Amino acid sequence: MTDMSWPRLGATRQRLRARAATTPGRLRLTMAAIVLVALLAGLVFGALTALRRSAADAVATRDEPVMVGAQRLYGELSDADATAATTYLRGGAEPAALRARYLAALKTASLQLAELGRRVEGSDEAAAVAAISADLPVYSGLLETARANNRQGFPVGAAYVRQASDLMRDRMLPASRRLYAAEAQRLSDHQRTGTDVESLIGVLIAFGCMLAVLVQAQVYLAQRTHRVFNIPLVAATAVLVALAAWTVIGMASARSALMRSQHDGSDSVQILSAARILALRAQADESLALVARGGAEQYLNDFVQVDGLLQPPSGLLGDRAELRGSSAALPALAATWRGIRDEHARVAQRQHQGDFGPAVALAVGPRSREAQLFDRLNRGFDEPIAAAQRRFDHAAYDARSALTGLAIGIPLLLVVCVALALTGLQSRLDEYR
Amino acid sequence: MSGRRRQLLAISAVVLVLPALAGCGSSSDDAEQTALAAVSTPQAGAPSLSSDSAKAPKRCPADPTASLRPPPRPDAMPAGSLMARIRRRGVLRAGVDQNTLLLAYRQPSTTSIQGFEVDLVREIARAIFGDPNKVDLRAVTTDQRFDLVQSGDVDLVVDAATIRCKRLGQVLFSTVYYDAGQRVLVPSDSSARGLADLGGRRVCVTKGSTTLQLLERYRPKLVPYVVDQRTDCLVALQEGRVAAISSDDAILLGFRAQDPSTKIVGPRLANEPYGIAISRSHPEFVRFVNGVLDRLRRDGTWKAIHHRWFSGLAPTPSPPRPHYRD
Repeated sequence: MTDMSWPRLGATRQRLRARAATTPGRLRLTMAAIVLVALLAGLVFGALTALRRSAADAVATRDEPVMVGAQRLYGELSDADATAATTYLRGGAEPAALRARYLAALKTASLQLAELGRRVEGSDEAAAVAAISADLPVYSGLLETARANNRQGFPVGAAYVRQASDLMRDRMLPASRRLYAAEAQRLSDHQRTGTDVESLIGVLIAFGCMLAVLVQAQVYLAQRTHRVFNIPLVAATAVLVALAAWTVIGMASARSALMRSQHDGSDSVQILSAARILALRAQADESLALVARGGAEQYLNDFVQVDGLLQPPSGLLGDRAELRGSSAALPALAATWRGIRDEHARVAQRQHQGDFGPAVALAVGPRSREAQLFDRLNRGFDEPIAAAQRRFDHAAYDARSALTGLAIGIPLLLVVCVALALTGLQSRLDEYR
Repeated sequence: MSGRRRQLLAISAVVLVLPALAGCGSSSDDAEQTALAAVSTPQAGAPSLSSDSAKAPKRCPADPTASLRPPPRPDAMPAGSLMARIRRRGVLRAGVDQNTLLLAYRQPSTTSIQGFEVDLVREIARAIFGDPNKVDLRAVTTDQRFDLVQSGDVDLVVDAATIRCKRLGQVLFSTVYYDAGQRVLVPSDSSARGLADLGGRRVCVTKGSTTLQLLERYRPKLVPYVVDQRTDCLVALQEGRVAAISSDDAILLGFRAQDPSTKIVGPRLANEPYGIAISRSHPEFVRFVNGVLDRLRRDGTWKAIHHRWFSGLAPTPSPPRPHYRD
């Protein structure tokens, strides 16, 4: 700022004061103020709506699908691992159903990877996808070698199964977990941006300023002209109040829809998918414990840990806040899990007694109840997860359409409000000609 | 935050691996944390127990393979002896490998463990119970097998264990049941005729085996590639990660049977007399097992078992002669 500006600013202030002293000058200033404040309010509103809309759009069209995709990838990889261990344990020529399940898991995983590769943002996420994509053919190659050896009765097949499982558990699943963690973080960040209240206060302050200018103009006119109501100005005030109310209600409903999409939708999807992954992990543990024989402790301990995480009331299959919308499906899932636990206890007891053959038959044999229950549990998650996903989609749609209505309606009303106010003031101004 | 939520967060914290916690430090949802906890990977691979941890006996006997002589009545099972306890328990717990073709391996089509060593275990069970099937075969890794004998988790270990002076500080050994020798397995197109030709190359050995010390003698130095389980060596050779496998001929014969594109080369580098490992607290069981082995050598069972597994791969030798130190 130059040293010339202060005197100039002072001169401007003097000119303004001189104008305000006369009624027409005062009215013109008020009109200018209304236009200025309305522009400002419009800008603040537009910026906020754009921010919220892009957050809501990102949540609905990118974050949640990608997060679900990352979790799905983890699930499919776990499924492949569990199925491979079970297949090995069954021995010899593997049952067609197990082979089909393994191939399906592998296929879905690689489709998921391709999809994620297109959609992930951020170099860490892209690196994780690339790492898993690079390991997947190695993993399946090891298992195919294992299969060829198993079919010939060669014990080196077991070493290939172990190598594949180590690759999966040491590298692929952790990378998949990193990917999921990053995506879940991104989703919850955007859900926060879409639901925070601070920026709404900014809009309300802008509208408040406008209201103050309008009210002040009316009070001034009432004093000067002894006419209490200036109809266009009153209408402009009414429009402004309605507009502010709509903004608050619309933003609040978009916010609550977005929160609903989280509580009833994406949280349920996350919890249910996690429970499904845990169930798959328990299945892999059961098989690996039998494969390992001597070194089974770690797998048996892990099974106990999984049980603690799943078991109602406090576990994932319990009456959790996130699963309120899925409560109808939960008792059946929990009952199936209890059945698996009982079967597991029988298997573990047989194994402890050294009855290895019967233990394997109980766990994975053709008529194994435990294998059937695991299968039922795994499929049992499909419907509640799909339902939670639908709830998410609906709520996210509501949030976005509420914001869309606001984005079109508020600027329009703002223009109407300004036009009314200017009309009202202009008619008074005309009286001074 | 309700009490249950807090409790769940606590569970998550317990299961979550620490790096992951550090990774997403900013507080995020319960659902996300819980889901993350669920997808933390269980640790792969058993924690390995230390091998050769016990001190070697102060003085090595001139002949470490000299064992304890069977009692006058070899099939007696006096009260208080381990044999009597096993008989009461109803099952003989034996540590064996599950991956060594010919010696002890899990037959993929029948899912039962079988092999030369398993047949020996069954003969011992027959001597105790009159029933060769009363056995609980525990798969053990080379690294942890003696610890399992010491802790009493298994009654004995028959797992291609070479009788070495150093190991006598940890366990007692039966008389020699198989006279193995150290050899080298290479791909059939390899020009190497022994370890001397493999200087600077990677050679696969099993963790806790006696081969590691042997490799250190060679110049230029061989690069040991150490794996947890024996068959991992065959995988490493097939995947081209190593140029050769150094191990006992009994094991290498099994490898060659699984992969015709390999060959066993070079002279016998060291004698590897196999003994059955038994806890130091149960010399009476060592004597009992030696009595069983004596009978197997005398009545032709040993030769029959050897023939059953090694016929076509190696000629059937005479059973190794027992040595006793008392």
